[in-house]
Amino acid sequence: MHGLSSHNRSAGRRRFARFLAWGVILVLAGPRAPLYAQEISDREYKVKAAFVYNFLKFVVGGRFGPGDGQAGAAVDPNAVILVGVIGKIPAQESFAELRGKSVQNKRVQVRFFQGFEEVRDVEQKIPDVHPQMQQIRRCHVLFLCPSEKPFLGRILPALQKDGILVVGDTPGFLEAGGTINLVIEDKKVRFEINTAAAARAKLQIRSSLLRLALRTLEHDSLERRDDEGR
Amino acid sequence: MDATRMLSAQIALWLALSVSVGAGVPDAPEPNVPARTDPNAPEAKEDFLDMSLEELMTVEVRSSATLTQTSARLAPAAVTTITKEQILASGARSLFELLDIYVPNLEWIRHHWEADHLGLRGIINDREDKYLLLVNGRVMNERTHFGAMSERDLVLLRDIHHIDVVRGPGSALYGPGAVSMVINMVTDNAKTFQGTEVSGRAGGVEEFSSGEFKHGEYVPAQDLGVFVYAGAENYPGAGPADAPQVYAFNFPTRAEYSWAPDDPGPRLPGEGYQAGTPFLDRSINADGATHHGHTPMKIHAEVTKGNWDFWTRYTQGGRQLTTDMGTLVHYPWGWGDWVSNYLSSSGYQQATAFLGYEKELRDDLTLKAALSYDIFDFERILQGSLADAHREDEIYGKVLLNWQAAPNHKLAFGSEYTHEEFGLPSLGWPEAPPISSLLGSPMPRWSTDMISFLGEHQWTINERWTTFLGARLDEHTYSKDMFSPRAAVVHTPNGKDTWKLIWSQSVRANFAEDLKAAALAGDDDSRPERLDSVELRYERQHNRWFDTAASAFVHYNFELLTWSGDHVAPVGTQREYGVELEALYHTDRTRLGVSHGFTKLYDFDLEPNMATVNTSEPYGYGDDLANWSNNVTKIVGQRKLSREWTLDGSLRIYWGFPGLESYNEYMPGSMGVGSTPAIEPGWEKGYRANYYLNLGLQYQPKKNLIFRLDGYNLLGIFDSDLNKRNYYSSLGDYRSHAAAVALWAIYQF
Repeated sequence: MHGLSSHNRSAGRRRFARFLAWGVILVLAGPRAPLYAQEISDREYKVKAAFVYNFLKFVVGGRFGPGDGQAGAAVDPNAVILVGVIGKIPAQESFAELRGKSVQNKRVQVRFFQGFEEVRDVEQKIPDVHPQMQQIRRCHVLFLCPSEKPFLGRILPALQKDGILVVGDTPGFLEAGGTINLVIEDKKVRFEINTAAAARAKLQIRSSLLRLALRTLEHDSLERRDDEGR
Repeated sequence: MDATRMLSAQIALWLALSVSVGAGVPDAPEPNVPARTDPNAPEAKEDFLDMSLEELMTVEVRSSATLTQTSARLAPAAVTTITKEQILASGARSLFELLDIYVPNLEWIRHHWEADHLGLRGIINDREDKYLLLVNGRVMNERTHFGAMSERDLVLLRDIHHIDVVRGPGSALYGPGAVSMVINMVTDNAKTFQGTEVSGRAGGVEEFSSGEFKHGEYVPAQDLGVFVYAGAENYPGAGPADAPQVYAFNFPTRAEYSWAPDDPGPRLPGEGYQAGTPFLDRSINADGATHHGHTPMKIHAEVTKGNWDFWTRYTQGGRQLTTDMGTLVHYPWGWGDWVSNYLSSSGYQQATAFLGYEKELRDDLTLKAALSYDIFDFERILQGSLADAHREDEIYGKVLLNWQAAPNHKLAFGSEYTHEEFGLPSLGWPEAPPISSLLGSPMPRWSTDMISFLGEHQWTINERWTTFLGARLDEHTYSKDMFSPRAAVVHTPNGKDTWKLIWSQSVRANFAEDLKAAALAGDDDSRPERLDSVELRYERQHNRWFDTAASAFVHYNFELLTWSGDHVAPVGTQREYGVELEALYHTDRTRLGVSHGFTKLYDFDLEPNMATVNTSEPYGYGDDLANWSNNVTKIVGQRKLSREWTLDGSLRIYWGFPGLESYNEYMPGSMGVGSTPAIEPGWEKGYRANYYLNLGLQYQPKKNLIFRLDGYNLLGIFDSDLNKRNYYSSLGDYRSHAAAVALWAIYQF
């Protein structure tokens, strides 16, 4: 086998090394202004936060009440809609901007909860139940950040009958029991809806929202688990 | 000025720029107060929270032209992304047709002796060696003889999630061979597609039928995804009457001279042939027909588990070639039984396995690694005889680190290794020792190695200025070192406007068989091809419905490796410039895109003792590229008529071929006795404009069921010459695409 030719090898490597060195110098010597320019994820999450805000206009029942039929959980008597965000979000201020907005004649409040990785116990184990579960259950809407993907099995079953609209943006979110999943299609944000999860939470999603969904899921893993348990 | 000095000057310029721009930066606001203007956001008053759902669904959030992560707006390149929705809306029957519809300043031409060609910004060749074709970021080019061969001809497109076409030189990111562009086909996987889909297509006039299946499943609890796809097609194509081949020469009816004193010559059939009319003899193949003896197919399977990603892919395809006039005609005896077998075609089979790994080592450091094995079989038949049949195997590995070195600085650096074995016998194909049209038979067996180092630095100076500085070094067994730097400045003065200034140098090693031939002759350090280019690009988002863009580019130093008459060699230096204009209007019901590309040769220095078919400018005939239409316009539209019905259409216009006309004036070919030209005097049909009008109607009665009816090249109903497509290095001849129809049904469950 013919080995690598030696012609200009060292010259080429010197050239590349000089190039790399200039790059390092620029890193070290460049002005250290704060990072103004937004990351790709900031824009994406601003749009996703806006989607979540819009979803609030299309959902009744559950904790949103009043809806048709009996709510599964007590309706919050305060004129507030509480949006909870669990986990590490790439652009926290995207959801913070919902504060003060109003929808369905109620004021929006936003609360951030630590993710499962951040609430490890003293033995560094991840708990089966989130330590702030009681406060989480008071939310009308929960957004589960991508960081919580490994822990969907711990939180979604616990929330399924609490009348909460659970929104995520990870693959398989609907199948795991989430209500609405945000996806990227054709470089734009779209959403898909789990009608089985909505039914368990006694949520009624307006048909105008269902029509815009990329897909609707009528059966998920939590429903199958419930069936097997009977 | 040599490359090193030029590079140092560029870097000095960067430093000066950074100091002056940095000095002008206003005092930073408190870190916990959001910046007043977000360069990537729409105009400040267009708050996302004030938009309706329908409006939000039109906002684009994503991009792929950098090693370091960046947004679509800041990507230092002109990138055309074709989504799967756009693939469906086009009704395209191949990657050729799909890219021809959507990519500004891209052209598609035929060839009598090789598979069809794609070119960008005037760069097109007798092989597909001027661009890289990728699947999921992995280069799929054949290296021995042809280049980007696989995938392009297949009507099987439902496995594709989207395609990114990075227009312009891209070796700094993608490696040698990315001279004119990079085409990256990204497939669906378990995260982008869950469920099952079956689809079937059938075409009339240009006959074909195909079936595709795909299934995706994702288990979030285990972070495990599985995706499988399979498709096969039958492509008989369009007969000569529907897709007429037109030559530029009158063939006499019968022999005018005897072969020999005692031999009056053959009795020739037919009534002769008149230039400019359809040539309907049986010697002409069906247009688009499959490579002899093979069923085009595609199989893809992918498993993702946590940080790991494994996919494997198999494709088989290829198409027949139309006979050139020189094969048919020997003046003055006319045409006839010179060739007993007119079948010419080229085909391939390719199998690839890819294992990828990505892990966030720290908050600021991500590792990407990949290992891949690829087998490529290439076959070319000319007049019934095997001209090329060989296999090449490749093992490839890559490690890349992405590092957020400082708040404003991102770095990416890594290394790649490629080992290739050439001259291997084909797998499962006709039993023949490997053969190369250049190296003969039996073809020698040999191997090459290439080690590559790559890096990129992204510096966000402030909210208005971002710079990119990248380079790649490739060391190849049989080639001189290949160094590909790139530098770019992106300026975003406000939320609507973006300016990009990009300088790059891209390189390409010659084909493996040419490098081997040179090595056998004593030169194992061949000169690579090189393109130096500068581009200024302006993009404006006028409002949420209307975007425009313009690019001006100069290829001021293109040291070209191309066919020299008997092998691929350094032929000369080509210089050209051009402009691209793009406009896109999009609402939730209407989408209309228009682009116009203009490319003009301004100089060609021919190497001593070399010849070229790229242009006749060195010979004193005209000053245009011979295998290129200087102007090309593309219009794509879509209108949602109702919730169920959608109307699509596209029109492409190649405005004419003055360079080909000049070349045919310089070298009109020769038909033997008396050096009679092979082109009739006054011939001009071949140099006129080409027009391709497609229309499609889509019916979607339910979310999971789609029907489409597409009509192709419909202007051919009135005049088939309107749909002509020229040949590379032709004697003024062309072949028209058939005016045709197709049905498509897609069902998901």
